[in-house]
Amino acid sequence: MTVKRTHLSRVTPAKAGVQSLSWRRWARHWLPAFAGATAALAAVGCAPRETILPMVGIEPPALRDFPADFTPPISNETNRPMPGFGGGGGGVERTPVIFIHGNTVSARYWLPAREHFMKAGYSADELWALGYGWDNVRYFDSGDLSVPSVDRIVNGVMAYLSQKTGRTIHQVDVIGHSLGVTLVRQWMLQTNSFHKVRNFIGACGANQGVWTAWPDTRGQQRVVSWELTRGSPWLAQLNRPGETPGPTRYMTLYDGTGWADVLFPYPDEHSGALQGAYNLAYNAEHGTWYDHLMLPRKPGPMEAMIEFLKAAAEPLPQAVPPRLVRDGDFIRADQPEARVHCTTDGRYPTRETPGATEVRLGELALYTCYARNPATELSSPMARFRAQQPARQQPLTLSATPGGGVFEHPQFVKLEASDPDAFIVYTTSGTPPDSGSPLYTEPVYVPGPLTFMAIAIAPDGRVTPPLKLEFDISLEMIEARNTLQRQFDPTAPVKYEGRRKVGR
Amino acid sequence: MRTAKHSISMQSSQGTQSFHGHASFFRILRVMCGSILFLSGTSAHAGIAFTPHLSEYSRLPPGQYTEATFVFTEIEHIYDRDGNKVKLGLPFVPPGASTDAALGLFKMLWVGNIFRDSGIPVLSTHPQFCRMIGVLGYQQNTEQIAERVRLFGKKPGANGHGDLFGLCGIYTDDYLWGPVKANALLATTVKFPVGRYDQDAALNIGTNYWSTIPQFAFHSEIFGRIYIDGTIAYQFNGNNDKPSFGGLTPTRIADWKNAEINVAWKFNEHWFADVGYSYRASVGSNHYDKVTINFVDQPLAPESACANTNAGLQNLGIDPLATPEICNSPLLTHFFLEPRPGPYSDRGVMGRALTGGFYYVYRTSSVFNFRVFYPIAGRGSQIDVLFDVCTSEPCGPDSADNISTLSTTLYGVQEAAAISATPFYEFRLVYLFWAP
Repeated sequence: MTVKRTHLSRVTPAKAGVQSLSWRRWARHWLPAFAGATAALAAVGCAPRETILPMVGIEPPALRDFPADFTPPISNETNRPMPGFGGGGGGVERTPVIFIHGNTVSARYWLPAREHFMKAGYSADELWALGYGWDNVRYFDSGDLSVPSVDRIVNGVMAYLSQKTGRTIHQVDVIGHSLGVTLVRQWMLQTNSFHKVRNFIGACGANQGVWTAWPDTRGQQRVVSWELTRGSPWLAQLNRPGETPGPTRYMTLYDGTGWADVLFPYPDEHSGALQGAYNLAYNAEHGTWYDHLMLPRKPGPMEAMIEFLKAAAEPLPQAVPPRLVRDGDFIRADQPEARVHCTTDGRYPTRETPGATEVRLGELALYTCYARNPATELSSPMARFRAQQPARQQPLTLSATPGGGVFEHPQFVKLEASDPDAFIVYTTSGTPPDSGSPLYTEPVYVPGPLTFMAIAIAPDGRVTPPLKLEFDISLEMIEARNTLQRQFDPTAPVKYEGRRKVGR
Repeated sequence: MRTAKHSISMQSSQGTQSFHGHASFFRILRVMCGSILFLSGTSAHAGIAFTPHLSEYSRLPPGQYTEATFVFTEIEHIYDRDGNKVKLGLPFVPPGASTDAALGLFKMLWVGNIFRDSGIPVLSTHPQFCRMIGVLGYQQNTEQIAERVRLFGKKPGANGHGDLFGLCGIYTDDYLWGPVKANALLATTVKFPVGRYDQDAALNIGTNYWSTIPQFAFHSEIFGRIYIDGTIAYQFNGNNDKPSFGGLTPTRIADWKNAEINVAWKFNEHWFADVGYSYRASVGSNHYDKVTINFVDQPLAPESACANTNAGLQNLGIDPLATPEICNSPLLTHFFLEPRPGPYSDRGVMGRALTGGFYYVYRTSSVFNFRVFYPIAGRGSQIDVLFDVCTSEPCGPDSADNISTLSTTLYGVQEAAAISATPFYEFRLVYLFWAP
């Protein structure tokens, strides 16, 4: 026993010493290091540089390759000046090209395209790209949320170049990628801006949906997901008036094999195509394997894009767009060479819709028209007309259900005019609607935070005042409703101050 | 004590019969000391290696990823230094004993580019990534092994948090050659030895030594259906001046070289299956400088040695080695054992394994992965430790009561030394925050 005790006594202090040393070392050295590293990683991962760096007095680096006299527009999503590139000399001989990036990237995505296009003869003044989002995967963009940003981009570039060149720039060419495709289409639709886009090229767009988007809030869903689910009401609204409306020339560029672009596997391999467009399933037709991000930045596809752009006639430098003129029950253009293109099926007229010098309005039909001057290649905005009817006595009003507010999930907004013969048009971009705005045919799907506006136009020409509704369907609301506290206590108050925080 | 030594010395001078008894006695001692090696088992941590998972090295979209991997195993076989697959604990532990382990690895991955738009060459155009891996583990030997471990005054298992791994790296560009798309990455992992580490434990969650692991890896996709991920890495290991389990973890740990490859087949956007191959081997030998493993109850009586040894052999169906005559010899009363601390060197360690598994991708935010890791060859660490046999304490080579020196082969234990020959099962869950 004595020996045994001696043996143990030789071990025990050493053992005790090791353990206490281990814990002291842990506590003194590694715990702070571990905590610091975890905090740093969490901070980097959870918040964008645009949030973190200003906290320590550092201006986040950004691509800002603009002329000194160009003021970048403010992003509707970030509430900050948009980064990007554009201008820099060379003059404007061609229709300027504006590149619209996709989800979670920014304008720099298009730098290879700028280089390629300049080698193909474009000047720096003719090539523009601006970042409308957060440039961070933490913040998914949205086809609705960024429509005002695209509007500011296009109008800002046209205004800047008009001022710089001394002539009004009426049109641009727009090339969008991924989310940028449906975003630009939504912008053209909601702001009645088809006439501003001479050519639109959509690369890898989710025109018929994308499998990565889901229609409910399970998992980490975002507005973009609600919008771009296969068969979503949002896409239905986008495609219902026609997939290639207006005088714009459309081209799409996409994988087509179902294997190279992981976002569009079978049966969605042709989701990028648009009915009526020049649809180029590039990989399928050329045997290439360009993935989602590569496709519009590879020489072959870019050559195809340039070829498509160059095939369109350039508008005459000093030309003025035609306007639609109503003369009784006749619709004409204010320029003798211009033609009027109309439809009566509720869809927008396309570039292929036959034109006429004048259109006589039938008694019951609702005409959707635009005017285009083939000599100048310029067009008018869309407008709707109905044969003149006698004035009615009853007041014309417009109501909506729900009438705006804070919601956790997407809403269907039902509109009703007091005169059942009136037609209703609306916008989801905050843009005041006009007769050429999207036509209300069924409840409007509102998936995200936006300003909804609508008017009703009676057969006798009366128009209601714009109905303006604010919808706040936001991540913050969802998060507020699903706090840990509420998981245990459903009666706990929802701490939400309302209205999605701009500039978050 | 002196009497005992004296009697043995006298015996050895008395002729064949006595000499025979003396030799048998040392055979018993050898077997008994050898029991240490079987008792020590192996750390489950040691048996677990990771081949790359599906798209492990692809250029992931910027974002934050979390991952939890759960590993379950019952190690019943390990590799010896000759590459033989040996049953854990035999002959001293009956069949069925094992080292059981359940490990949880929690990973957080960030992918982004903090140098974006900064104008710094290379960095500004190539995304970076950082990953931290924390480990929680439960490792215990089954009771038969635990009982044996206690003979040496040691603890059979260790639970708690493991070492912390931190790595950062940078992606290359994506390259495309016809239907083959590929990218590579360079990364360096640092293992911070912060895990729970007990010098008395046969198993440890922590390792108590630093490692730095530069790594080159690549990812390739062919025809959009076949995904290949591979890596080569070199692991610089620091020293462990506080070896555990009586010095049977190396004090100077050999560096490691790793090569791993994984090939996955994509059925559709939701289902994948993969097979992988893993090779890892030490560069040179592990060195042991502080061997102290020993029976806690000393002096040892031959009777206990006999019972101990014969019971173990009977489990194997082998006739008793120690005869009653030897065990009951009045000449053998008691003795002390004391290991010499070293230095000892092993032949290095090596492990080769195949993996196979499948993946289910739920939406785009979650990945469920089940995998089997199947060892196909290996070489564990073993060293020939010298034990001094004395009739009194202190016992050592210079002790006046030193009656002999035995050499017995012991297994190295834990992460740096033991190579499991038992498959393990891995269930992995990946969750991507803020997926669309």
